[in-house]
Amino acid sequence: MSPLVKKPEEKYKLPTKYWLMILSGICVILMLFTFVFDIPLRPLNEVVSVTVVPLQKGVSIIGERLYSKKELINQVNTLVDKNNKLMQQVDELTYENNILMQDKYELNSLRKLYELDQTYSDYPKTGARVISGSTGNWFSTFIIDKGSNDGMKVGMNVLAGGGLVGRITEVGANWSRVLSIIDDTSNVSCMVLTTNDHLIVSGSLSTMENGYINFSQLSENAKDVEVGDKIVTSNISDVYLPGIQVGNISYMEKDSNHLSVSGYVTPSVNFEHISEVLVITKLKTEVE
Amino acid sequence: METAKRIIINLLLIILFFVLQTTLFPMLKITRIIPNILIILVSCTGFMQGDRAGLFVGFACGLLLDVCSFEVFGFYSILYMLIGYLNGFFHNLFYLKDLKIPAIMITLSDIVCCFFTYFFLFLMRSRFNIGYYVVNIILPEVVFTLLVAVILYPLLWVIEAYVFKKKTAESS
Repeated sequence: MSPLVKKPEEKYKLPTKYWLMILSGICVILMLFTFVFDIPLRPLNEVVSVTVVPLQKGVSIIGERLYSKKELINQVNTLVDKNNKLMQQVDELTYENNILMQDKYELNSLRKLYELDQTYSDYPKTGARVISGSTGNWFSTFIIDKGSNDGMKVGMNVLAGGGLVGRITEVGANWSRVLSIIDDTSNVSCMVLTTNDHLIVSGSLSTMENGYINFSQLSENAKDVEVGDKIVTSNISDVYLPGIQVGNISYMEKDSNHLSVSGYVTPSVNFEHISEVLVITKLKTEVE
Repeated sequence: METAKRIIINLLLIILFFVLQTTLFPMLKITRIIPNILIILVSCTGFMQGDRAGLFVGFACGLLLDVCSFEVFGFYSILYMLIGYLNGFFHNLFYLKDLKIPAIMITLSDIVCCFFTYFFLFLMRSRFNIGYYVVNIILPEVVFTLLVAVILYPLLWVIEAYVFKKKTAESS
């Protein structure tokens, strides 16, 4: 059809080429804004709060519900199958035992949290549930189910099980994004607990497969530091509160410049299975 | 009417795939690697519905990824948008029953996506060990994505064949 012959009822559509250019332009402007000026994008965060986050919450809650339903159905089936009174009794006892085991498990995890709580008792904390894992294989970020409505702010420290998990980097109404310390772009200013020597712990995608992250810039003069020493967040860090456990030194080596020492740190948190975290609701800037 | 239906179904698919990508797959943890199922959606939309649809679906997926994953806003938007748009050029080659072209296109799209991510977000921060990333991240992700595509492609195929194509076939 020649371009001159146009059906009268056909609506004018902006050609895809122009859409591509317009949207690319928008993206470049967005990149410049966030990269150069570091301005958070509130409206887009709100879009995510409304569309995706409720679904993610739903999926993770449904997952847990389904699991408990499945357990229930299993138990009902066994009861129907075995009408014998004794067997029933056994089942009841098993059921009871299950609950007790669950209680015991809960008790253990609560005890652990309490211990952690004791260690960092100075800071006010709140629990949160992880509702979404990382979106790909390149970065270690995750989403938790509390946001600005619950008082979350960018920069708050996140803990789990044995120590530091990361910090909040983006906040929506009912969600926050956490950048974990094992992420390739993460750097944490730390110190050795026993000697107070400062070092930088940086996340690394390539070494995390073997279960450790890198540390660097430990002064060569710090002779007393040994493999196995505890690493905690340092008091000179501008986002992390001091004294939070990060991990242990698992390997160290003098750099080729003979001025500094670098090596590996085994994080105290098992990053494979994080489902609940504690958020310290005090910012470093507020503490000082 | 037809376009409104298309827009609604595409939006629902984007949200469904994104929730799957961020909740189901990271929690299944079969391997350390998770498949990139959003690229399946973007690529399929591109060559099933044309460059225009691919462009918008890619842009929407990229925006969601940008909000939920990385600091520099707009990187994934631009990347996924381009992938959707370029897949649209193969719209004319596409037949519903042919499986070779979707497989090749999804694989290529994922490879392109991985390499751009590596180049701009890792190489630029002086992570020069490209061999490690290819063997340990990119290759497993591409293979896993292709495997998942075998399951997800029929879903997109059914939507395309029964919700849209049937009507256009009758009208033409």
